[in-house]
Amino acid sequence: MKPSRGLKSFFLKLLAILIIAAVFLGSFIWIQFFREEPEQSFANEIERFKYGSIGGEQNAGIPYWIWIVLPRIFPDYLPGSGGYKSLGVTWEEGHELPVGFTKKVIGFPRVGNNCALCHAGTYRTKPDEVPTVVPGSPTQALDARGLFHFLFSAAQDSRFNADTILAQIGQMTNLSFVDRQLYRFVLIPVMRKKLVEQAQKGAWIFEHDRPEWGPGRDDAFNLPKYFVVGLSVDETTGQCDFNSAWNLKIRNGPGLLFNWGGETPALRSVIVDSALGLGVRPGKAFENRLTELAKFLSDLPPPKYPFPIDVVRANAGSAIYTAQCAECHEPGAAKTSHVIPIDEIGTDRERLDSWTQKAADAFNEKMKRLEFNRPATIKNNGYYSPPLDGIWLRAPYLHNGSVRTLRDLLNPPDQRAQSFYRGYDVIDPVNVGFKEPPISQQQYFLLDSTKRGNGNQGHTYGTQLSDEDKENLLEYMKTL
Amino acid sequence: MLDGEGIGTAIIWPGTWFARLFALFVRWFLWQGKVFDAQNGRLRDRVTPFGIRGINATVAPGKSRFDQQACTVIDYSETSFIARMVRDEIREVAPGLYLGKVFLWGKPSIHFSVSFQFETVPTFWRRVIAIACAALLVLAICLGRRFTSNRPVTYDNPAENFKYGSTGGEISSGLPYSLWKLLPEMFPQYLPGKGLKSVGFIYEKDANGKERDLPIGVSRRTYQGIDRVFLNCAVCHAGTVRDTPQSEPRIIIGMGSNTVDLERFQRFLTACVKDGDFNADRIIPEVAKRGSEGWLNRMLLRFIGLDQMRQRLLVLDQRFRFLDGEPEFGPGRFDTFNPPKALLNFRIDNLSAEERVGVCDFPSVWYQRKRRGMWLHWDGNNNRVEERNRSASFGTGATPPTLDRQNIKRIEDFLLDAYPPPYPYHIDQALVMKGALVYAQHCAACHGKNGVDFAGEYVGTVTPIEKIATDPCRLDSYTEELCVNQNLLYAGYGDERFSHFRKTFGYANAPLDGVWSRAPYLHNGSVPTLRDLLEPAANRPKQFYRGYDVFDQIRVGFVANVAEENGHKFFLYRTVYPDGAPKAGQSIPGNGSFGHEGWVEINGKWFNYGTDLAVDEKDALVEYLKTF
Repeated sequence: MKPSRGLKSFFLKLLAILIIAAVFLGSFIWIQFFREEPEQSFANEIERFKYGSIGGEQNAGIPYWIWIVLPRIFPDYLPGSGGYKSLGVTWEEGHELPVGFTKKVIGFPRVGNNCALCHAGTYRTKPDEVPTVVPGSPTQALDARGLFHFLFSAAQDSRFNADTILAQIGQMTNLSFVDRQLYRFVLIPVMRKKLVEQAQKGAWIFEHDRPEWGPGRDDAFNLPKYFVVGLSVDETTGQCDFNSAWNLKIRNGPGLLFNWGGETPALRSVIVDSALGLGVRPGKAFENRLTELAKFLSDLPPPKYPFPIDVVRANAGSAIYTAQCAECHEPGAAKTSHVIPIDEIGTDRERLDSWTQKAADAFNEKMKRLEFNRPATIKNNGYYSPPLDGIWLRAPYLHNGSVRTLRDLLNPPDQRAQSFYRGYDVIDPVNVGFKEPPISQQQYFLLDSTKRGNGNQGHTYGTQLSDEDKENLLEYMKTL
Repeated sequence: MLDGEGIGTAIIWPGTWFARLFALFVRWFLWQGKVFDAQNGRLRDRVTPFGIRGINATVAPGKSRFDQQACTVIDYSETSFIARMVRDEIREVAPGLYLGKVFLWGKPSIHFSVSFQFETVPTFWRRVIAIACAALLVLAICLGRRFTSNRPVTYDNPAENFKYGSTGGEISSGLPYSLWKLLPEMFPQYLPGKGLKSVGFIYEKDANGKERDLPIGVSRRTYQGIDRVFLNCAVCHAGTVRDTPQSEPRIIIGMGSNTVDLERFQRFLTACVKDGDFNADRIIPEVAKRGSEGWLNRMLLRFIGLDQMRQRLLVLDQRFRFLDGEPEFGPGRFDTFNPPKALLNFRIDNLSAEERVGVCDFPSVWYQRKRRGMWLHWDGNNNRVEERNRSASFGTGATPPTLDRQNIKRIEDFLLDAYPPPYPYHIDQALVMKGALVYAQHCAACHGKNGVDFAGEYVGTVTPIEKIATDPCRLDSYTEELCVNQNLLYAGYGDERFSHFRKTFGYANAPLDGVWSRAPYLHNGSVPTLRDLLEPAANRPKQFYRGYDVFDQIRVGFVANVAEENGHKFFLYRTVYPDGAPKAGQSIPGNGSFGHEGWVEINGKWFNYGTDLAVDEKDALVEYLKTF
């Protein structure tokens, strides 16, 4: 049977060629898209907290060169001059990426984010000073909504195309022929598609009756509600301050709650739920990083107050603190890190109402399906009372950051500033908080406490104290 | 017996797409068929793209090695040297179609067919096609070489290289050489005088006393077949000094340029491309007339080059809008840190009011080795010589992918130990001795021991703006926002990425090597002479002329009261708004000549900026500074 033998050998040859081709193609694709290079090494855990990957780049990363050129192509979608810096990211001198941004090669270099994006802020003691970066502090200048706005608008703009982007990249570097084709035919269109999808999911952020978040805040529980669970968009608005993430050992324990509405019952859940939003998926690598982060953040000390403290006054204030504040705010006290019912605390309830039992159930269900193992999120009816460690660097105050300074918080609500600028990082040592920016620099965000969710009422504790007592209490709180 | 020409087809992997490709390739370039000569029992193959008859073989009936049956054997072993290992066997498989098998060194290899079914292509056409193909190939190679060409004009002498060598800027920013020559002639109305000399470019004379073709600070490179020119380091870092109005200028490389007005130069280029006459129909015939470009280049210029140049300059003009808010730079000055904001495409309209004016003097660039580790730039925002150089190279048009690293290295090496020429005029040694004492007491801590020894407690560090109190604009123009964004420049190039920029809050204390040639003084060049700098700010000139290069040996600096020479008007520098203007008498932002005066306390020690010295001490100090 000669002909069939020829045919057979032909097919065998063909098969061999196909296998070789498949192997080549496969390794090409693997090398170009999936091969993970080990991360750069970090001098210490603080550097790693600021710049190290938590594993979100695969899902949520932006190809490095696209990330670099976007602000140069779309400066009109940024709130000011200065590339990403204009969005209030913390960016240290000499560093390639801002704090909270990570670079990882998975096939190609990608830029992702980590916890430090929202939890590494800055302060200055005077305007003419390079800002001091404090890992674990709320990134009070970060305009998260602006970052969404920037990426979403860019993706929906016709300038987000291979010609424009590659031309801009060409001014920065010489991509190889193969890389250029990859960017042109894969990375740029795929990135655009992903961002456009996100933009559709995130359209609610910009619906006009929702107040702007402004720097240092996000709508912490509407984000998972819509982005992760996919519930239909409701009326609620829940913009609230980024929290401090240092010294978590005093916040972690049985029965102790996290997040403003006390929604999260364990440190593990806080980290998992926050990392999820940065593209992280469960697995051994994340499990390891989670353990390390939990330990690091538990032991990270709160920053020391950078100005001199009047010891006499502070000592006097200590007694007032014990009498007036310790019950709810002293670590280990009965009510600390527990929820104070909304009727009692009396602060703005919008943030609380943005999270519902239904949302909690759906979210927990979704997390189970994603195979994340963590204590389930709950629904409470009040705001939690966190410890006050490093409180001097946690301004503005209350869950929605509606009170500019600690001194103002000790004023009755009708005497608190009704509007003030957020995002300026020069410390106000008199009132404890951040100063008002100079007139010429009011590109900062004006928080209007009459807008939905921005109310500065409630938490009237201490408002009845004498001026002298308030002064002493303020001095004491600088020591925390 | 076979006779005449048969068309040959090489066969491998029959039935696949590759077989066709292979057959075509062989037909076009290697082998077209066999020409049989029945009478003599011989054949010759048609080979090469030209179908030449060559390679003889004998043709005889024989027995096939394949199946031991009858066939026609074509044997090269006796008749051909190159093909002596070849033996072909052919057998008729259809009328006029022969299938053949090739044996090399007796082993079976590929197959072929020889067909007598069709008429062969006439030799003439075959050759025409082959020649056309060959010509196309040659053309493709030539064009390929041409469009990948990238050859700078090079100079062996390091000083010449500094003056005329390339930083790579021509590649992406260069102007076609022909247009560089043509534009000043075609659009003289946009220049203050004749040629580019009128905006301060320095033309050296060659060995024969003839003016050189290109001025100092302009380099030349053939890129993609087009001769291009652009600026290099020397355009801002070389100047001239004349002893008297009648003398020949001394050219001093490494000093801050005192004559070139880059703002006017840029405005000239922009005005040219905005002019209605900047079009191919007007320009190309002019270029042709001068014979500096061949036909192909003229076509390229007509259809691509001119548009590209216009686009590029208009984009630059758009991005450099911040210039409109600044005082006129005049010769010898430019804004260093607003252009990078433009490069990074910051929104210029969003820049804060206080950062918009960044004008400053071109500094000298000698003794870089001794400056290693010092905080460089007027505000001391970087302490790496190489990084500072790459940053400055952006100003010469060189981007990370186009920077000529080899030549930048040569320029860098040259500047490490380049030094200023000694003061060319008389120095009173007795006075120098006296001045040295004053200098040691008040100046040395910040400015170094002398002109060659830069040791000093505060040399290369930053004095806070409250203490130096000079015009703050240049300092404020450099912002934290720019600083961190610069971290992404040269990203992807390893250690070349910028990582040493910082925001400061004062001005750096620079060594004073060659200070006599570095007039006018202060970072913004607001004080015409050293002697004026030693006067309290209130007594310093409120206005003077810049750009004149005749030296003032008494006050040390350039003669600053000459408005015009041979039709060349000099730049009137004002430190305050003139009488009659809305803000008359107030300091012009960026141009202020105040500060660097009175007493200053640094770490518990008091120093005088020189303004409170006695007159004879001031004179002595100036005399001493001449020795630097």
